[in-house]
This record gives sequence, C-alpha cells and structure tokens, in this order.
Amino acid sequence: MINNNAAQIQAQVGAYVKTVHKNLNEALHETGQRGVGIVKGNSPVVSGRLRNSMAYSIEGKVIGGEAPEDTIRPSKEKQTVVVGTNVVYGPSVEYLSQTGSKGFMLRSYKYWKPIAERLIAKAFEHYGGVG
Amino acid sequence: MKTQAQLKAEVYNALQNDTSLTDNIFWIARPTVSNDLPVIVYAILPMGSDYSFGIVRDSEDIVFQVDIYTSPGDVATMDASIERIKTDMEALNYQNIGDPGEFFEKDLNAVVRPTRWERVNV
Repeated sequence: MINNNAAQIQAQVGAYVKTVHKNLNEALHETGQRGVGIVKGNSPVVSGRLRNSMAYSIEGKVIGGEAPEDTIRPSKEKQTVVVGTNVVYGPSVEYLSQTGSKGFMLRSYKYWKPIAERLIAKAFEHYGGVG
Repeated sequence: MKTQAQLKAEVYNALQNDTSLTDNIFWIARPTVSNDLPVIVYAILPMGSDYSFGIVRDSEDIVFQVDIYTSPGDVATMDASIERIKTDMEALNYQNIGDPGEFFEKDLNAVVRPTRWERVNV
C-alpha cells in the first residue's frame, strides 16, 4: 500500500514538474515577444536598423531581429529571457541622445516588467494539486 | 510629496554643494561654446510613455541621469567624482540603476560616464 502511494505521488509530482516547465517556457516566450514589441515601439527610427534589430533570447536561442550581426547574442541562462540589441550605436542612443530618445530602453523595461511578472506568475497558477 | 521641480533642485543643490566636485554643473546638456572639463550634466529621464499606457505613477517616481565628462588623461578625477556623486545621490534616497558604461565624445575630446539614479521607496 505504501509503495503504491509512493509511486503514485512520484508520478503526479513528475507530471506537475513537466507541466510547470512547459507553462514557464510558454510564458517566457510570450514575455519575450511582448518585450520586443514594447521596445520596438519605443525605439527611435531613422533607418530602422536599431528597431529591426530588437530580439529576445531564451536558453541559447534568439528569436526575432533581422541582420544576424545586429541581433542580441544568445543567452545561455536557463529560465531567463533577455531582450535587446547588438547594434553598435545602441548604447549611445540610450545614454547620450539629445533628441528625446535617451532612456528608451529604460522606459521600455519599466513598462515591460509588470507585464513579465504577471505572465510568469500565471505560468504557476493552474498547476493542479498533487495526490 | 515633492514636485519634480523640488526634486530637481535637491539634486542640483547636492551636487553644487559638494566641494569635491566641479562647479560646472549643467541641466540637460553641456554648453557647446565652452570646453572646460570636467563637466557634470544632470537630467530627468522622461517616463512619459507610462501615462499614455495608463499606468499611474507617483510624482516622486523619477529617474535622473547624471553624466560626468572628463578629459581622457584625467580618469582618476572621474573615478573620484563618481564616488562623490554616489554619496550625494544615495543621501537623497536614490539608488544607482543600469550597467556602468563609458563613451568617448570626439567633438569635445572627453570621456563621458553616464550614471542613472532611481528614487527608492516611492
């Protein structure tokens, strides 16, 4: 009896962990897509190079962006989403622009953070009980 | 609750009263007619998009950017000034945010280090 219950518990915990991983992965992708959308909306545009370079990376994969040399480098961190650009003049637009674009990444981050928190929290909501 | 003008005055007074820092402290941008270094430029980073997205913000929820410009041969002054700015801003209840970065301004032949400060416990 005890062995059957233990096996059952183990199976259910295993299913729970698998579901949470799947939900979290989907939430990270949605978070990344929203982040890229927000930062693209806030990016200043002249040629479009900076805006089109915005992409997100999860566990070694980069999604989005156009020219490979402009898109973000792959992030190897697990269960982490990184949004950004690799365009060489990105930092100087962010920190030194005198045309009102200064801080566009920070603005995007401040808007994106509560959205990301909500999406990740939702991933853990409907996991169901064990036992 | 303080207004933006009061917060701005607080930051300016803190930097101006610090005798270890340069007297060349400017709002928004450095003067283009004079190339005296070091120079400190402070500005509020606009977070206006939040209002258009319907996010309500406290008026004290503010981010300052304080840039220090020094000549390339004077990096020791820059490091010392950054430490003074940290002391002054933290005394006003700001925390440093963002990654450190340095740029070279060709037209001025100066190294510029921007720092960002966010008001805490708002």
